Amino acid sequence: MLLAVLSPLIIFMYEVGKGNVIQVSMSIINTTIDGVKTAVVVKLIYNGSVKLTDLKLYILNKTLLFGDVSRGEYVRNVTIDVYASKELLDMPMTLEFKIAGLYHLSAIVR
Amino acid sequence: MKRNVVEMVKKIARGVIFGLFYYLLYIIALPMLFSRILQIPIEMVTGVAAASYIWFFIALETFISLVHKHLISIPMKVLSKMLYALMLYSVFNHGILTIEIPYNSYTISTTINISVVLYIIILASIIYGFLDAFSLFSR
Repeated sequence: MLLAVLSPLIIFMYEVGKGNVIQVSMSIINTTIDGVKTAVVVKLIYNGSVKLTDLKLYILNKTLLFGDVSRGEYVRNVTIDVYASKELLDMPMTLEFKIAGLYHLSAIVR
Repeated sequence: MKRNVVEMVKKIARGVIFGLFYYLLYIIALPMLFSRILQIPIEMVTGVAAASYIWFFIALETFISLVHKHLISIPMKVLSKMLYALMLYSVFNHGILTIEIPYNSYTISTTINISVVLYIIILASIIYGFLDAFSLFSR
């Protein structure tokens, strides 16, 4: 029973150790909305074999919901203030999810 | 009289051995195993804290060994295993593990909650405590 519960965590940590399991990229679209807002495309690529549930990305006081994530590519759009777009890469970003719905993990990138 | 003393020494020796065994299992081996498997550094118990743990494990197991076949040994066996598992829970910072990983010019602070695993260990320890208590009685 313990091994069955532990195996998703072990597999996930092993895959993380190998590198590039989760990649997040952001691209700012240069067209502004009303001159004050701009659109940002957030792309998440997951290469792991363990299902991640309730995945959320917090950036610039916005929450992007990805929900349940399996191997693949996920795209979300968010609108932010034009002035904030300059600070986008310097702002801390938090990624939160549950590994196989069991282990809550949060990663803050500073 | 001499036979009683020998019996008493045997019981104390048994308590010391079992105390050391459970200390090594719950406070050393399991945290090391999880740290190795999950590749997350876990702060090991050292110094005065380690000595306190060893004394506690030995004292409890010696007491259990001395009251062997008395009614009190049933709850003591169950409670001791539960206590050991709770100590493991404490060593694991209540299941919340944190690691900081430098990545290019960034720092990734990761917090992972493994309390589910620890709950299973606590439950398994209680069940083991029950089995241990009743198996000794049946001898």
